[in-house]
Amino acid sequence: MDPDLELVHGLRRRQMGALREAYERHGERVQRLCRRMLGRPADAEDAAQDVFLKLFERAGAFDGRARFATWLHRLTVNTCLHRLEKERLRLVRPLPEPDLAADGREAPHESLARTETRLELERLLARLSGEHRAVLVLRELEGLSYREIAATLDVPEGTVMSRLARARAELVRLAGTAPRAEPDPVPRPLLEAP
Amino acid sequence: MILDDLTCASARERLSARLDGELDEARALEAHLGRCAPCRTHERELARLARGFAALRAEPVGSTDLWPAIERRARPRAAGPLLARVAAALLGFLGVGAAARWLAPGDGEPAARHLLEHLARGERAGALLADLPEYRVLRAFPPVEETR
Repeated sequence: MDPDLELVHGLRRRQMGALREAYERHGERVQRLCRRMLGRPADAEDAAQDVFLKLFERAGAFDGRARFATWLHRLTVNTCLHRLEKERLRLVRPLPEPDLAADGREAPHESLARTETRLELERLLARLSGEHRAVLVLRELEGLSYREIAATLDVPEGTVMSRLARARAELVRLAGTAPRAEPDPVPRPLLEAP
Repeated sequence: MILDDLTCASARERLSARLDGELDEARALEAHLGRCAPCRTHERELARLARGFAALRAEPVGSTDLWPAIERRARPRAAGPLLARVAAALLGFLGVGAAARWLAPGDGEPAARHLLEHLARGERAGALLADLPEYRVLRAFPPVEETR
């Protein structure tokens, strides 16, 4: 039983209380997903607001085939992809946030290494296509299973598997350490050249 | 005996799935890795990538309270309470009456007085509504057919 069904009824009736409840339950995750998809906090905040406004207008389109949370994440990913495509946004390497860089709970060299890793990965992620970035963010950062990703992106699980493999291969290539693959066998032409 | 009939592309797809714990059958992949050095290198690169993502995942993502902005933008699209909607409808109705008086001076009369006088005489609501100036104005504008 979807725990958000009652919420959907309120959203369909355009009740502000239901929207508030939806934000309380899912706002943090929507915002985090937007941040990881778009990079810059200001873009992510705008996108997250758009997601909840769209939710208010389109709750009637929720058909219950997927869980409400999954449907909302699909709405979030599509909103982010739309922004990336329309505005040709590319993640600009963000400066380390002061409270994270000055985290005194770990040794400075560990903090620095983690920050460098994060920045490098974020830089590489920003160079991926929106499609590849979405699937990697959902798998690697949101921890979704292939089944959940398939439901979120509304694609078959096989597509998730191949898209993830291509996205990772592209990341490895961008990092400049891609090993050369053996060429796949070239199919023989049906007709031999004269 | 396991035949290694995987291409590198197929092997790398399976490597990626195995990294995610989503590969059921790995024997063909192992056979391919046994003979393909570039794919073994790719496997190490994927493992390194996975460690990077683990670090990224561990970083907290700050969040802002977006509710005030969302509420401000959503409020005009929200349905108001029932009482407010009834009041708005009544105001609109009387507004049309005022327009009727303005359009036909001398002929119209205040809608509220018209209603009260007819109700006091015990007339049926349907009959007296037909004589209201508001309806006379509305009848002047034929309904527009809804277009898709």
